[in-house]
Amino acid sequence: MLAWLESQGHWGFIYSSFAISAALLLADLLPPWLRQRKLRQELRARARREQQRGES
Amino acid sequence: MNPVFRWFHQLGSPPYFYRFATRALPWFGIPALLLAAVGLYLGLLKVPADYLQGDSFRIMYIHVPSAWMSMFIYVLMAVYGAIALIWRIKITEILFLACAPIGAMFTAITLITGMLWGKPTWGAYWVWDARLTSELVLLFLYFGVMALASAYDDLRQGARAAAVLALVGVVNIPIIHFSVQWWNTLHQGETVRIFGKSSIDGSMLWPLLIMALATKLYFIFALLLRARGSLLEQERGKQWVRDMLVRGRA
Repeated sequence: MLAWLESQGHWGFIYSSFAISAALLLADLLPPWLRQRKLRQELRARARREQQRGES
Repeated sequence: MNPVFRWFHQLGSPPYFYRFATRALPWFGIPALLLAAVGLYLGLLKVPADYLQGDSFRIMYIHVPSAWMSMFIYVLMAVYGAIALIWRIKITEILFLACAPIGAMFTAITLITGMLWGKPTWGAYWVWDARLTSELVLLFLYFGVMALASAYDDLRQGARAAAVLALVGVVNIPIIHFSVQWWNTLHQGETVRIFGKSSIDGSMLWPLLIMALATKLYFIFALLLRARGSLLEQERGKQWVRDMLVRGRA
């Protein structure tokens, strides 16, 4: 794989750098964002259930 | 009370911080994205190739801002850690813990892009040079902070233990910065200076400064996002969370 990368010249190293950086950025951002979205949905549903139970 | 001090004081309140973070997120995320697009366009397509390194120097537009961020975030994390240890403010504990994975990500980008820049420039992906080794130590410090914090069942206790490690690790930051002056390294010396003349050409400097600003704004965006999520998890049983999620007010 490294031999293939080296055969691509300078632009191979440049594109690899940017692709790996973008992948790391997404790996940093997406999991907390998705977890937070799920938690908000769960908490909102629970709060609505409690509110409805209280009203009835 | 001075309005600025009052604002900082209010930020210590979880509902206020949550509302502030929610409002502030697009103001940092969108400019970060736009600036990164401009910086990369200029850096990849407009700036001429370097007379010595050819096109490979373009890796600098991601490597250098990431390296600056890796050190900046560590110092900020240590400051939050010190505040968390001294005053035990919940928000600073959350911000301290939120800094570590973002800092680790920037350090990993620095090391990987450095390796990919090193091969066409030095002929080797890795050398045990003072700058490279001290940056690798920084990555281990970030991992150590995250591991130590998660080793405790109580998040706040974990944050305070990890804060001690973060404070001890600050000694590595001047080592990274001055390594190219203190030792004879393969890594090049300082080319961009805040005080004094930079040895980089102006046409190459501007895209770099734009990328540096983009990474700073991204960091604030990611920090607020992570801190907001962590706050929601910790405060999930509180009345203000119910009020905010059901009636849309905090």
